[in-house]
Amino acid sequence: MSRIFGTFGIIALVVLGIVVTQATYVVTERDQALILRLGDPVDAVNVADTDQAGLHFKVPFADTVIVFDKRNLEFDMDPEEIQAADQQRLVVDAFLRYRIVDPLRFYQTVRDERGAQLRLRSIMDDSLRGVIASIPSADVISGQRAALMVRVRSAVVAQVATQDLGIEVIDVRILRADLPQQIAERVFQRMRSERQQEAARIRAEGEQAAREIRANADRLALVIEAEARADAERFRGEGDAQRNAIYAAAYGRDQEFFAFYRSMDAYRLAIRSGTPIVIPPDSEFFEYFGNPAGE
Amino acid sequence: MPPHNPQTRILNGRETHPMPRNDNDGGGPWGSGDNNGGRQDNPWGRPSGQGGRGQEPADLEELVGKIDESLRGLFGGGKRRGSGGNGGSSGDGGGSKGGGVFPVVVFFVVVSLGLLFWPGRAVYFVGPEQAGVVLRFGNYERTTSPGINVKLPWPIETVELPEVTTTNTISIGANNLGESQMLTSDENIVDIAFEVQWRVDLSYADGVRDYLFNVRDPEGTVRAVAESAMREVVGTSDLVPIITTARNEVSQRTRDVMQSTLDEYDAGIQILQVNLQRSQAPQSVIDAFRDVDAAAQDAERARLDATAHANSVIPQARGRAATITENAQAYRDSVIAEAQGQADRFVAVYEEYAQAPEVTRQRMYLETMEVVLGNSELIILDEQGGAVPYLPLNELGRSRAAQGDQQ
Repeated sequence: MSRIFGTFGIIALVVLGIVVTQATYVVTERDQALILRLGDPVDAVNVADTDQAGLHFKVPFADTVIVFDKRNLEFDMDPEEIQAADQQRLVVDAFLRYRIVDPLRFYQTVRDERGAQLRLRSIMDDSLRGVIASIPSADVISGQRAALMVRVRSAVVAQVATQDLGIEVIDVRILRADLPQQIAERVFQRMRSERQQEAARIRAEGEQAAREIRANADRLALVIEAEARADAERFRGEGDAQRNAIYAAAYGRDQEFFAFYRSMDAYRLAIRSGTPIVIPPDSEFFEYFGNPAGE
Repeated sequence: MPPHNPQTRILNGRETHPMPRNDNDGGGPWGSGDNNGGRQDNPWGRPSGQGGRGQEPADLEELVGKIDESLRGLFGGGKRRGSGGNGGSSGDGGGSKGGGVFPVVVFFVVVSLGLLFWPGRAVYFVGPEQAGVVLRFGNYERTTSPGINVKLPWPIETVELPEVTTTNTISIGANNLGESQMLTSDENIVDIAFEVQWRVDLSYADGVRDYLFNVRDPEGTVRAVAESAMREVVGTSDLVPIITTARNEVSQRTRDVMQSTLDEYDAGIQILQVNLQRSQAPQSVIDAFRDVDAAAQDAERARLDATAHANSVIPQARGRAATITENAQAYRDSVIAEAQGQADRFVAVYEEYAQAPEVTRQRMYLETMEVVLGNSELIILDEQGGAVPYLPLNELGRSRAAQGDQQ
């Protein structure tokens, strides 16, 4: 009796276990679930912007649970060469972030993430080419980057909405928008020649400054000396003038005596020793020479 | 009770996992998140007894009660006794049924060991750098602090233990050329390597939850956003500032762009710092850039040489100028002094002369003549004689000079 009860108990336990596991499913915070009842979509649980994670019940054996990621997902595109408006080719590497907001549409249109990536690749490709082809390459790779990303994003969003993929595009970012390698070499060439010009300019400017400094110094030196000479002439003039004034003051007291006095001095200095002098005996010096009486 | 239902698992494997799921989701249909790569809550992995000991027995007792009750519910198909009673009383009941204290002790030891060893254990440890995020059937329940904590056993509650205080570092462009070359706004190419430090954003309550559940592959996201942000910032700056003065500004702006992008994603990630490790001209043009530096030094040297020249020329000129003016002043002063002296002498003589003009005049004349004629070769000639005398002037001078030599 107890053995029969025990056998029944075990069978009942197994059946209960199967029923419990078949009748319940768990949706985690990271996931959302689509419930198909014999293929017919009846419910979506914990979709974006709802908080229904946890234990849920379903009809055993009839309901199938398909789980999709609820999180912000990345789709990274391979780098591509795209032509800009000025025929310049650019290597563009972009990524897109999206999340699944309508699991049913998602399942119907792309089935899984791999399908979504295929679709997103063609949408991204299309949008990038469309937007970049209308913009000169200079704007793509420099200042207009943020505006460009906004335009690509709205193009992608529009296409995703048209195709109704059950996806919300969160962000489109251009990782790289660069020149292809052979053009990069041209850029390097240009950078080099720019730097060479810069170096030449700096050297020339240095030379110019040096010359200016030298010339200025030389000019200053000349001016300083010239001014000194001017001062010197003034000093000499002053001296001469004062000498003349002093002489005039002294000699002006008796001009006739000065002439005599100065003449005497001059004779004494001017006539060197040994100078032959012819003198007649009747000159004043010899007045008493043969005539002591003075007559 | 089986840990999982095989059929559901197959369903998960085929249908619900269209993409290879990352490790965080590994496990059964109950979403047991205990096996996160590197994050373990194995109690033997770290020493026990870090805090929380005080309330442990009470919690355990309560848990034991619950388990006891649920087991009884399963096996017996209903609660035989103590229905609705708390865990303690029902545990006591079990003990008294077995009779004696010893079985009760054994029961508690077995249950305690079971709690630690059982895969769905109720006791878990949160490391000091971690946060314990408890999920009930995959649904966020609570975040617990470091120390010993208790949860409902698997499969009801699972815990994830992300490292939340750790600063993570991502380095970009350090050895990959494609990553490191970026275009500037003046269409030059700059070689950049940088490092991003980030961690889970704890500045708001749900930061850890956002970090765990909102974005797949947070590290890869940070990396992609970092590269995109750096290229965006570099693309709006000119080359020369990037490699010279504006390095800090580039880091700061990149950090800001990254943070606002990640905030848009509700990623629960905080960018602490962006460090520019290298920002220079690309290798193949670096010589030209170095030549510009060399040119600047050349120019500076030329300037310094010229200044040195100026510094020597001008003082020399000043020196010469001083000589010239000093000489002139000396001339002036000496001329004046001499004139003054001669004038004084004349005045003195004149004053003496004024006393007796005739006599003095005569005396002065004679004294002068005495000296003058005394030194001369004196020839006295009477012109009235009529004959033209022959004067051998040369010989006279020579004999006079010879006499001077002999003397």
